[in-house]
Parts: sequence; structure tokens; C-alpha cells
Amino acid sequence: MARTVLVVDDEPHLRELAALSLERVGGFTALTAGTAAECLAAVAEHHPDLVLLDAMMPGTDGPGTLALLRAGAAGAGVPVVFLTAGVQRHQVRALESLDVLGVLSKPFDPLELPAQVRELAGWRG
Amino acid sequence: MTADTRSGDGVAAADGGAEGAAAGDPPPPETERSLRDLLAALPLGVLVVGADGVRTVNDAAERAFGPRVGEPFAGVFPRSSPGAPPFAVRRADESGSEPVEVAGRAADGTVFPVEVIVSPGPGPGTALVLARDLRGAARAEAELRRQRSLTALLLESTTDGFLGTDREGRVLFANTAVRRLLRQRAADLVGRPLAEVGRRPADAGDGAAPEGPSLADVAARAAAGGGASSRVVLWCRGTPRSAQVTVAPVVAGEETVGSVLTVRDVTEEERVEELKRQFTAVVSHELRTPLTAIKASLRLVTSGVLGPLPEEPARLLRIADENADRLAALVNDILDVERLDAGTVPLEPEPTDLADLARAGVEQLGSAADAAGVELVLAAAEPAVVHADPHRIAQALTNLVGNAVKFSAAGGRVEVSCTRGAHEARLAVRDEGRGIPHDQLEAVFDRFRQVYASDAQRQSGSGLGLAITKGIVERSGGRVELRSRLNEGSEFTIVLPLADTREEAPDTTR
Repeated sequence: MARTVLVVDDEPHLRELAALSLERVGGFTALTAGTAAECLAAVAEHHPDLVLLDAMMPGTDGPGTLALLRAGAAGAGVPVVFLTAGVQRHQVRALESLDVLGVLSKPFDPLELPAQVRELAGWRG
Repeated sequence: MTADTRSGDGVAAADGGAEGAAAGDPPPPETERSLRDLLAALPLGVLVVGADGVRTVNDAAERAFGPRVGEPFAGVFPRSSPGAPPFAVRRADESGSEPVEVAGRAADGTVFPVEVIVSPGPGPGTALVLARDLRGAARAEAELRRQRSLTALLLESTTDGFLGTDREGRVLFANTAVRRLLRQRAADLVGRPLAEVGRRPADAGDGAAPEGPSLADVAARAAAGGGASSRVVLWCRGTPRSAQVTVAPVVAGEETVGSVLTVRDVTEEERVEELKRQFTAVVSHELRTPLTAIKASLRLVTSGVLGPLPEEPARLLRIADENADRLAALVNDILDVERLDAGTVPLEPEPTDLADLARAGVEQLGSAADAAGVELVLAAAEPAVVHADPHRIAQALTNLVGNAVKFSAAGGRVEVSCTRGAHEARLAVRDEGRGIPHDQLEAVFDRFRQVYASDAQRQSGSGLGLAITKGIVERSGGRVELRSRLNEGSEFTIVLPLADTREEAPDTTR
């Protein structure tokens, strides 16, 4: 059965493109959410195998959403990967120090994204 | 004594006109006598002239010009002569208080310089001419006066504000520009301690503007040998303005007798800088986000993962894809230039071996060189560790190698080398291209500059690469050297101080 990845991004087009890439290039099942609240609801309902989380979102941002996930039962153990447009390495390091598998940078290459996710998650094939 | 008769005429004229149209009572005899004596004793020549010629002269005027009553004006003041401007009698109702240098002619025909002030005369149609003979010492005096008034005029006319203080820090003078900036009259400024000039009023709202240093602080710092230039917030009748203030001591002999402050209003410049910062932030997000979406869409479609495309649409989408790449690179370059300008380019220096960067650069651009038929080789890779941001130096090197490949003909060769000197590391990129004309060696680092911009071999690119390279390297404490010979090739070298020879890490982040 295909792995399920939840894409959380406030930009609807980028969300759709990441989902398309994960499904058509990576062969995953992709779900999408545009806010922290939608993310929490989707995690509780679908129990995805991984959450690909935009670090910079209006309202509750990536780290804030991560904290909410970890505080609840459903999201406490879900693997998370940040997606960030932050160009400064200290920003990336700050994100890496949180409870996540890793940090991927934006803009992403839709042909590479699934492989990058797979590698960080330690999934084979 | 001739003064009695001649200046008597003058005084009479002053009373009501040469035509004798006296109004009111004549002055008492003793007053008239003392006025005559005064006029006779005056070292300044006094002439009353009318349309019919010279009517009255005093002793000093006669000494200079000779006895000339009754002569036409032009006989005494030839309209022009070498070295003096043409001079015409002003209309009698036009007052001219500024002294003018003109030519005067003595009775014996000698022409000499005279400084004159012309004002309406004592009767209708007459003019009063005050004349100073400029022969001898008077000449130097007049020159000095003219110089002084010219200096004052320059000081008043300049758009930069000037404030002069004495050694106690009290304002001695304030020119028009600074008075206009502070919205104060000279009388309000002169004599005041500098510490009180442009200070925040007690009733200014909290947080209206940062307090910052005062003019007196900057002057004190300059006197102590510190930075003599500083940004100062000046309160100008309740409104804060930003000023760049530079202080220089006024030295007489070996003694400092005061200071002069140059005050330049930079409020508008700051506003523009802020707009630029906002613009950069907007460009950064609002341009990049849609570009990312366009790029990702095109990539998915052209890769074929969504299904095969007919040849023509596929070709058009590849063109769109390539141009989206160019647009993205241009946006990134423009952002880099703006941030290098503003000093906000994020640099994260760490020990970095330039040899690694040279190897990586050659590898990264290998396929581009292959495609252009250019041989790209690593000629030397001596370990040379510098303290710099590896990503940014790699970006600088990539720009240089990319340019070298771009401007090389097929079959040409590009060499990258890293060498280590006693104190410096050198990362060089040498090509066999057509070279850069000698007079353009500096200009190639200008923005949007392409040396061969007008010819058929013009290459694509933003024209920002070298400006960015230079900016990055200089912000990292190094320099870019350029050697070039026409039709033989060019060599760009990034020179950075070796990490172990640096005395102190410069603060490269801001």
C-alpha cells in the first residue's frame, strides 16, 4: 500500500504541485492542508506516514504547527519534514534542531522531491 | 579750501535737490558747517551727477579725479576699459548698495580702478556716487573684502548646512541651509551651545524617533579622535529630520579654535532606502512564489511523468522552462545586488578551503563547458583555507567560470586554479577569449554591463554577475583582480586573506 504524505502549505498552487509530484513521480498518496488547523484535522483523521510542512505560513507557522502536532495524541509521533524558503543557514539549522527528520529547501524540484522525502524518511523503493 | 563751495552744493542738494526745490527749513548754519567739514574730511570720494554731468565733488573725489565739475559722466568713468566691466549710470530711482569695480579717468587721462557704490542722488534725475580709489593699499583691501564676501556668499549658497563653533562649542555661524533645516533664525542659533541645537523637545511624543547622538556628541567624538561622521536626528521645530553630520576642527596655527560641522539632510534618502528595502522584500516573496509554481509546473509537464506530449507543445514548454530559469536567476541576482548594496547579504563565514571550491566549481560547470565545446580544467588545487562563507564564494566563482565559458569560442580552454601565497589565497579563472579592452577593465564590474553588449556575440545574462562577485568578495575582506589582453584572454582572480594570517575576524554579517 502506498505511503501517505500530508503536504501543508498556505500557497494553494505550491501545495497542489508538491502533491502532484509526490503522487505522479513518487507514487505516494498525497493529502493537502493549508493551515495549522487543517493539518491537525488531517493528521487526526488520516494518520499520514509523513507531514511535509511549510516553515513559513501566515498565522501559525511551521514550528508552531509542529508544536501543536506534538502536543496532541494523533500527531505526537508522526514524522515531519520542513520545507523552507529560508536562505540563511542559521535559519535552516534552527529548524533542524526541532523534532523533525530534516529540512528541504524551496523552490523544490518536483522530479527530485519524492526521492528527497524518501531518503529523509528512510523508506526504501 | 575748495570743499566749502563744492560740498556746499552737495549738502544743499541733499536737502532738496540741485534744482533748488528746497522743502522745509534749511538746517541751522552750524549744522551745515559741520556737514561740509565732514564731507571734506571723508576719505571716500563723493560725486553728485545728473544728466548734464558731474555737479558736485568732495575733496577726496577731486584728489582722485581732478577738478571735474561740469564734465560729462562718461569723461570721469569711461564706460569700459581693460579689466573692468562696462559701467553705466544706474537710473536714479534704482538703489545699488553693492560696490562695483569700474574704471575711473583722472583729468590727465590716467585710467585707474575705482570701487563705486551708486545710489539715487539728492534730486530728481541725479545719482550719488561713492568712489574709492583702488590704487595702492586700497586695492588689496578691496580684494580682501571681495574675497570675504565671496566666501560668505558661497557658504550661504551651498545646499549643505554649515555650523561653526568656537572652542567652547558655542555656535558662531549658521548658514542658510542649516537655518532652513532647523527652521531657526541666525539670532536664535548664534551664541547657543551646540548641545542645545536640534535637540528633542521635552513634549515630543514617546517613540516619535530614536534619540541617538546629538551634534555635541558627534563634535566631542571628533575632538577625541573618534569617528567624525555620524547620523544624527535633528529636531526642527517639533519635526525630526535625519542628518549626516561631519565634524572638522578649525585650526589656527597649532591651536584648535573651534570646529565646523557639515550638516546634510538625509531624511529623503533614508525614506528611499526604506522603500528599497520594502521593495526587495516584496520582490523576494511575491516574485519568487509564482516563479516557483511556474517552474514546478513546467518541470512536471516537460518531464513526461504526466504523459507524453506532442513534439511542438513539448518544444514550446521547454522554451518556457528555460526562460523561467533565466527569470528566476535574474530575480535572485537583483536581490543579491540589492542586499550587497544595503549590506544585508547574509554571509556566514567559516573555515573554507578554496581548493575544494575550485574542484566543485569545475565539476559543476563541466557539462555547460562540454555543451559549449570549451575545455574546462582544474590547473592547480593547493589547499588554502580562508575564513569566508563557502556558499557565497562558490557563487562568486561560479559567476567567473560561467562567464569564462560563455565568452570562450568553441575549442577554447578555461583554467581554474587555487594557489596559496604567504598571506593570501588566490582563486583564478583564466580564459582564452577575446579579452577586455583596457579602458573597460573597471567598467566590467558595473551592473548591467556587458563589454560586447552591442555586437552580435552578445551573450545572455543579467549583467549582474561580476558586480555580485565583486560585492561578495569585498564583503568577505578580499578583492577581485582582473588581467586581460585583447584577443588573448582574461584572468579574474578572487584574492582572500588566509585564515591563519588574519589578525581579527571582520564582522561580515549585519
